[in-house]
This record gives sequence, C-alpha cells and structure tokens, in this order.
Amino acid sequence: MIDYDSLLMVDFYYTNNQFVSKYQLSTLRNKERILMLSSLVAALLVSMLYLLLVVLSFHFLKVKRPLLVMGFLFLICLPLLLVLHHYYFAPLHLAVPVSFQMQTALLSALLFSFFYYGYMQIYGLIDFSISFRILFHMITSENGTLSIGDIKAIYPMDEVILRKIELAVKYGLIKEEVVGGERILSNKNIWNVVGRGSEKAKNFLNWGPGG
Amino acid sequence: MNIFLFSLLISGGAFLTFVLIHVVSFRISPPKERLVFLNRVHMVVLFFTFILAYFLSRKTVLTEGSELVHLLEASTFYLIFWFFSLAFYGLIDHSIRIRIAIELARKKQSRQELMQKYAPDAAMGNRLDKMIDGGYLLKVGEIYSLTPKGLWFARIAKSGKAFYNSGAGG
Repeated sequence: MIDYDSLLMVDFYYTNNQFVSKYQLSTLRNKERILMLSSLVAALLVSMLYLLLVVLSFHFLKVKRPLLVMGFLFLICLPLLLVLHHYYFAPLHLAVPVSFQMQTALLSALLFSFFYYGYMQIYGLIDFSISFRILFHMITSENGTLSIGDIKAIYPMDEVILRKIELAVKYGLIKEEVVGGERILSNKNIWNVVGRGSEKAKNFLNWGPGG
Repeated sequence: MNIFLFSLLISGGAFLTFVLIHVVSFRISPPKERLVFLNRVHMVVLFFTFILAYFLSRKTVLTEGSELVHLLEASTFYLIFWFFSLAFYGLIDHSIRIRIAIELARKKQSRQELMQKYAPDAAMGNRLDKMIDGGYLLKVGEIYSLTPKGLWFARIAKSGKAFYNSGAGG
C-alpha cells in the first residue's frame, strides 16, 4: 500500500509550531489569505454600518454632542465586528490555528479603528477647523470673495481666544487667581507639562510659534 | 517570529525613519507647505514599508501567516502611525488651546497680557497666510478669493456642514 501523502512530503517546513509538507503549507497559506481578506471585508462592512448609523442619528435625532454620539456608536460597532468575525467566518477558522484567528480579529479591529479615526479627522476638519470655516464663508458669500474686514467680522478671533480661555478654566486646565487686585491666569500641573512639552517639540522641530 | 511582533517591528522602524526625515528636514530648512511635505514623506515611507514587509517575510522564519498577511498588517500599523502623526502636528501647530498653554507655561499672566502676546489679528493673519501658501486662497489687495483648489475644498466644507447640520462651526 503506497502512502501518497508521504510521497508529497519531500520538503518539510516549520510553521505554527509544527512540521508540514509543502502541499500542507500551501493549503494553510491559502486559508490564511482567505481569512485575512475576510477580516478586511468585515472591517469594511462594519465601517459602512457605522457610517449609516451616524447618518441616521444626525438626520433623525437632535444631536447636541456629536463627538460623544460618534464615540458611542464606535463602541457599539467594535464588539459587533468581533462577533461577526467570530461567528460569520467560523468555517474559515477551523483550518487555521487559534493564534492566527486572534490576530486576524485584531487586524479587523485595527482596520475599523483606523477607518473610525480617519472619519473623526474628517469630521473635526469640517466642524472645527477655522480654515474650513473661512472657505465655507467664502463660497457662500455673494461674489465668492471676502475682505480681511469681512473675515474679522465673521470670525472675531479675540472672542474665540477668550472663549477658549473660559473653556480651559471651566475644564480645570487653567486656574485664575486674584493677585494684587488683578486676575492672573496660570496653567494647572498637567496642562503646564503639556505647554512646556509642546514648546520643546515646536522648538525641536522648528515649527515656529504656530497657533 | 510572531506575525504581530514582526508587523509591529517593521512599521515601527518605518515610522522612526519618517520621524528622522521629519526632524532633519525641518531643522535644516523647514518646507513652506509643511503638511503636503509630511504626507509625501509618509507616502514614500509606506511604499518602502510594503516592499520591506514583503521581502523580509520571505526571508524570516515566521511562525504563521503568508506574505500578504504581513503586508496588510504592517501597512495598517503604519497607516495608524501616519494618522496619529498628522493629529499630533495639527494639535501642536494649529491648536489655540495649546498656544495658550505654551504662553502660560512661560509666564503667569492676565487675559490682557495674553491677548497682547497672542494677538488675534496675527493668529488670523497666520492662518490666512498658510492658506495662501497652500494654494487655497488668492489675495489681491485686501480681497481674498478662492483658487480652484480652494473652491474644491470649500464645496467639501459647505456640503459637509450641511450634511452634519452643524451650522458654520469653526
């Protein structure tokens, strides 16, 4: 009786803590590739679901704290992705070791986090960026142009800076004390570390004053 | 070697290369369009990360995974590093709150003193200058207008703000 399997095992390869034949290795690698692409698909599907939930919530609910809502939806979708990965792709899991299954699940979660992070960057740009606001006012102005006076009237920077100071005081980043009849601002401990660290980073990278 | 560690080492090494290029280039001669420059460096480094991950995964004794797996994982890690580096740049270089923290870390001061040092007109002028340098705006005399590139981004801003129903924002 000829053992055909042993005939195929001319070369041995060490993978997943065991020796396998070239044929077995090739089969395993193919299954890993399929599982890997499935992780990508899972991350894409859940990202689309996330986007749909964001669109629905922004259009049908009065969202007062958008960042909180988006973060909450991300926290809902992340376990959903892991469940999808675990159950929907279960037949694929049978062929590959547990450590690899966990790594593809991790990669799926990383990809979804990456999409979410990218999406939040775009949202931040649209909703918070001063430059985007200038562009917005420019395109909505009558002739598509604005003078420096118009820009200052639309976007009074002194008010913005004062508002930022108020918020920093409110959130406990800056403290305000009365010294010699004058109200003096100073950083609290952690914020002081942030200020000094940022200045060092700016100097080191030669970024100029910025802001 | 474990696949996760392998990908992390490759992408971490690639990111350190980016940091090195960033530091050296900015210290020698800071580019005018910083963000464009940084993104270009990232693209080149990502391309080499791809090639390096592919060839090293063929040469290294890996406990699991194919070349494609290493490519995807190393690239994903690098993309995450890329986004974090841009966020770090944006935060340190553009944030008003960080600028206030820097001024107050130098010296305790009143609001009036702070407003004199961090002049609102200069803060706005700085942003407008950067937008001109970036090719978004055109300045003729005292009038600012949109360039074709600026118009494209202005449309994104308009439709994005309408989509989120977020008002003017900023």
